[in-house]
Amino acid sequence: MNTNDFKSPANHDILHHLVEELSEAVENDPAALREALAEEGIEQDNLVQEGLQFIQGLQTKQQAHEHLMAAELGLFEKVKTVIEAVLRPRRLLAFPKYAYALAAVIVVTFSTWLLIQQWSSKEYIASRGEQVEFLLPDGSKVKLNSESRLALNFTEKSREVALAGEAFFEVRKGELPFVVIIEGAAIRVMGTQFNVKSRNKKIEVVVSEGVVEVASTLAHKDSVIILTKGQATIFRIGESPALPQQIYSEYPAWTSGKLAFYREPLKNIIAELERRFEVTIQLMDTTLENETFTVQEDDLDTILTKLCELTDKKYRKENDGYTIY
Amino acid sequence: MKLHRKKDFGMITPEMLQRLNARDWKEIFPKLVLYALYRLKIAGRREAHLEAKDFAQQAIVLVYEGKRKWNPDQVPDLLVYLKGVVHSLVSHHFEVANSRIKQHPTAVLADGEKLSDPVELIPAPDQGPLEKLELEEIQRALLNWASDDETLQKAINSLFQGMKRRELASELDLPLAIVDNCLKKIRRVLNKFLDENNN
Repeated sequence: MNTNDFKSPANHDILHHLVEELSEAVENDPAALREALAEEGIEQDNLVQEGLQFIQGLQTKQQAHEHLMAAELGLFEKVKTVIEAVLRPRRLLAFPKYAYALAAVIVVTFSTWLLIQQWSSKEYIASRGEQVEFLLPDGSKVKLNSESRLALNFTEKSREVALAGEAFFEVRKGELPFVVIIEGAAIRVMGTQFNVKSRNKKIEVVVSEGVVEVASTLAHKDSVIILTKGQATIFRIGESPALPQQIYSEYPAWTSGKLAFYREPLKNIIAELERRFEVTIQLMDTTLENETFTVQEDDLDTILTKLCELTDKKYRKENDGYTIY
Repeated sequence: MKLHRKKDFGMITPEMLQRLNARDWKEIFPKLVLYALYRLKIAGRREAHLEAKDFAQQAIVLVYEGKRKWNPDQVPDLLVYLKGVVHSLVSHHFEVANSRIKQHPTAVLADGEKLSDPVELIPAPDQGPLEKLELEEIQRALLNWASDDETLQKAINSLFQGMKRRELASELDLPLAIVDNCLKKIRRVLNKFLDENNN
C-alpha cells in the first residue's frame, strides 16, 4: 500500500469511522471517559468547569443579542425619541449661512446639556481639573472625568443616566437594564464595568467587564453592536458603532490617575490635558493639531516633555498655562 | 490557533437559543473534546491534547452563532451534530495548511448541510497530514497486539470493514457492553500507536 492509497476516500472514511465508534464506546461509560481524558493529561472536572464557563459566556452573548432585538423595538425607540426631540435639527429658515453655523454650534454644544436639564432630577458635575466618584441609588459606582456631567432618571421602571463628557461605570446587577444616554448613542447593560467617552462628536465605549450593547440613536442601519470584556468601539455621532476592537488595558488610564492616549490627534490630547489639569495649552504650530500620537505618562510635565520629543518642539510654562513652540 | 471561518453571519432564533441552553453541556463538552482529540491525532497532530478544546469550542461557537445550523429534527443528538462540525473544522484546518486550490466535491453533513464551498482547498499530493499513517499498518499493529484473543481480532477486522458497535455486537453475538469493552481496549492501543506515530 502506498501513501496515496491512504488518502483515498475509503480509507479516510474508515479512519473517521474508527474515531466515531471508539469515541462512542468510551462516551457511554463515564469512568472510561474520565480515564481516556486522564490518559491525555486532561482532568475532566477542570475541563467541564472551563467548558461550562465558556458556554455560559456564549449564552450571555446570545441573550444580549436577544435583548438587543427587544431594545431595538422598545427601549431604544424611546431613547431615540427623547434624544431626537432635543437634537433633531429644525427646518431651516431663511437666515444667512453664518447663522446656521452659529446655530449648529449652539445645538452641538448645548444639546446634551439640554437633555440633561430635562432629566435633572439629580445631577453630578466634574469641573475642569476635577474628577468625582459617587454611588448611584442602585449601588452602581460612577467615576466622572473632568468637565463632565451626569444626570439621573432613576424610577421604579428605569435606571437611566444621561452623560456629557466621560465616565467610568461599575454597574451593579439588577432586574432593570442600566442605560447610559449620550449625544448620538445609548449604551445598555445589566451589570458590568465600562467607560464611556463622548467628546468632540466622537463616541468611545470600552468594556472592562461583562457585556454591553451600544446603539447609535442617529444612524439608520446596523446601529447596534455588542461589546464584551476587553473590547471597544469608537465612532462619530450619526454613524453606526464601529466593529469591536480589542483593547489591552483592563481599565481606562484616567481612572487610576494616569494619562494615556492611543493614536489620538494632538488637539484632542491637548484638550484632554486642559480639562484634566485646568490649564490652557497653546500649540503654536497648528499644522500639528491633527497629527496622532500614542503616549502614556503619569503627569502633565512628563507628557508635555514626551509630546515635545515626538514633535521636535519645546514647551514653556506661562502664567495661566503652557505654550508648545 | 487560527481557524478558517466563513464570512457570513447568521443569528439563531430565541427558540434555538433556548434549546441549546437547555442541553447538558456538562456531559457534551468533555465528549466533544475527546472526539476532537482523536480527530486531531488521526490528522497527525503531535499536540492534539492542547488543541482539542479549541476545536470543540469553535464548533460550539459556530452553532451558537448560527453559522452552522443545527436542525434537531434531522439530527436530534446535538453531540452528533457537533462532532460533524469538529470533523469539518479539523479537516478543513489542516487542508488549508497543506493545500492548493482545486475543484472538490462538497462535503455534506448528516442533515444535508454543506460543510465547505464547492471550490475549496484540498491537500497537495505530497503534503497531506494523513499520509503519515497507513491504514493497513494500523490494522496490522492492532491485530498483532490482539494475537491471542480471537474476539478482539474479529472486532478489529469488523471495525476496519466499517461495522458499527451494534452491528459488531450482532456479528460477534456478544452483549453491547462486552463489545464496548473490546472497543475501549482497542482505543487504548490505537491511541498509543497514534501517539508513537505522531512523535
